[in-house]
Amino acid sequence: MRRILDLSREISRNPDRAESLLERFVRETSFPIVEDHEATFFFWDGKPAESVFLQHWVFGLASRVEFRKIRHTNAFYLPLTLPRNARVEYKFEVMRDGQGHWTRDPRNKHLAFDPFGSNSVCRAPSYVEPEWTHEDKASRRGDLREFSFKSAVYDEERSFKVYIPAEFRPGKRYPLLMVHDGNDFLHYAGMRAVLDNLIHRHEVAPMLACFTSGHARNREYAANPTQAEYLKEELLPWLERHLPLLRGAEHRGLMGASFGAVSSLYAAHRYPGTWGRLLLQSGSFAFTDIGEHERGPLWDPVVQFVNQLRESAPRIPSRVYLSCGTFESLIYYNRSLYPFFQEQAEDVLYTEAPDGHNWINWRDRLREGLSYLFPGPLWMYYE
Amino acid sequence: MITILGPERPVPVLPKVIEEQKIRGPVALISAGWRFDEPRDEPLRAAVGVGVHNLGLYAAFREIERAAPDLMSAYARKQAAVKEARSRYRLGITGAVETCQRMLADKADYGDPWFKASVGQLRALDQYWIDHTDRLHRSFEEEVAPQRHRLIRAWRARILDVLAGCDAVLIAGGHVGVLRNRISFFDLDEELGKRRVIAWSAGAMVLCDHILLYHDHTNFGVGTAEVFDRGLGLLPGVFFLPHARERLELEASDNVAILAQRLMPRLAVGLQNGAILENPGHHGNFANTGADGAAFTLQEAGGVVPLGRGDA
Repeated sequence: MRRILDLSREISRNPDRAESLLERFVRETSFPIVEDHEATFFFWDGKPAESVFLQHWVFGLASRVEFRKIRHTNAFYLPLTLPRNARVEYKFEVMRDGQGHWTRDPRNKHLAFDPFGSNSVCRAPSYVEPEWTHEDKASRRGDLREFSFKSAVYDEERSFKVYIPAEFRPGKRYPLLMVHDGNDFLHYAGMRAVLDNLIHRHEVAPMLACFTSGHARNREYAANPTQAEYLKEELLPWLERHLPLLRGAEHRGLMGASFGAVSSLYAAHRYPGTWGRLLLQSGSFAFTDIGEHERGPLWDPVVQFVNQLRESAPRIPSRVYLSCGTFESLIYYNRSLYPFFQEQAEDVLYTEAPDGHNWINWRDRLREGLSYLFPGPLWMYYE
Repeated sequence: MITILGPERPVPVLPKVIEEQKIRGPVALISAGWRFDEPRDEPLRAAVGVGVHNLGLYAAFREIERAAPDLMSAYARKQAAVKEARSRYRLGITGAVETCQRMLADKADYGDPWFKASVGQLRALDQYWIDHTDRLHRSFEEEVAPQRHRLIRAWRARILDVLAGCDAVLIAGGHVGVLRNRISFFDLDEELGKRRVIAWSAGAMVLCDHILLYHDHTNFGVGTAEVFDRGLGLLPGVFFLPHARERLELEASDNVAILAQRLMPRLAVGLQNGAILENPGHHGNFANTGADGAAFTLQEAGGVVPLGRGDA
């Protein structure tokens, strides 16, 4: 902020040199300007604009925050207070001729991708991208194989990918992790490299991971008995027939984010004793204490399921890793469910991170979640 | 003569040690701690510059596993009993370590008799665990007499043949439990005691009386250092702790004092990359020829003191 104010003062003193002062400023500065607890966003493309807004997905802040204009220029800035280790995905909305145009921050090279495109990323000073999320040449690469079969439950062909760890040996049996939104976890959370690294470093047990993806995802994952049946009665038996899997719930995990977390919890609840490990990220665990929810009809079965769960308080015979970003509206539901899991699950580890509802947040929690649910033999290794 | 090295990454010192000790080779290699990667020893062969015979203990064990299911199911039963007892032992030591920590939270006096009595309880649990596992191992040996088993004898004879033609035995790091169990499975403890040995990381750990497992930074339920089992007992009076700086909170003097006093009268020696300790024998009797600060002791008063060069 101080640097913007300095710039602003200098321009006020020399308005005829505004353009060159701005050019020098952008040449010498990286954006957004991150200092301690504050990030200052900046927009200037040399063309006139009526106003600029910050579009972000931080629950608790106004969803569309207007920038301030630097006098005598077409440059805009916005200071924002952030936790020191926060990570915020954002876009700019630039108003010209009464029309808003969404754009990534053109001066920020940090991007995050998701199925809808990409966002710019603001990293507060203490946020460090975990090195275990990057491909590491020292880690031996596992294999990804694609399979499919005709599902009777869905009455259509269903394909999925299976991660085979590099240390795979015939005659040995492995635990299974079933991943909802599998293609997205592979593509946007780099889960193959994550598994390669964490298994290579003995932090996570060598495992087979089945990456399954829905066809009508939102409907299938919304506490849908069809999906639970597909996982338990079709996909799991198919995998057990074709791959050397350890038997027993303690060797089988379900994971997912958002509605994928709902589907995981729902499947474990519907078929107790099948899935003994649950990795639930930013679960869309909406519930009501009184009255109606206002999230639309898609959420009806979810709210109904979570309400029933809280009321009947069944045992969840699983070890649970629960995580949520503090910038998500879902934080309320996840915090509220933590005591439920403490009472009803075998074990639970709950983590909050100053991040939003996005794939990088989910990626960054994988080390903690996977090593909690499927600990590797690191304890025994001294290399 | 036994030479102990720290972890061999990032800068290996093994080639230098082999050269300085004028080992002409061939040497035998025990890399069972690498498990399925046991045969992947090409980089080591290329680095040491002498002939290497990999003893293949991990593969030999797997072959016996396939060929002698009765023997191996008895072995698996024994291991399952050890595993079950370990959960009881962990329960005990977790509480005992917490008691020690709470004693120090009130009064950070490492000579306080109540603190020392609490550490004594921890030591008693370690000893009870060792005695218990001894009984489980003995009962397996009485039941199955593995050393008289035809396949094990045949493999052992082959291994001894190879050893007879070698100048030294290299024991690599890796999975310390697998390494120790495979060496003992083929009854090589005494044989190694008769030979020149160079061992690093887990290889160094298995040569001690007892093997300590430790990692203060895990998030999966274990974190309290625990005795794994007896080691081969070739280096009495010491616990080697490779990667101690990464795996232990050495800045926390309470933790260091608890661990050092728990392991007494044995000496707790941290090993980092570059450490070389030659002819270690009795308590405190090392010739330290490695990099400065790469080998250090954990002190009962909570400090960490580098071993000096030469005899320490």
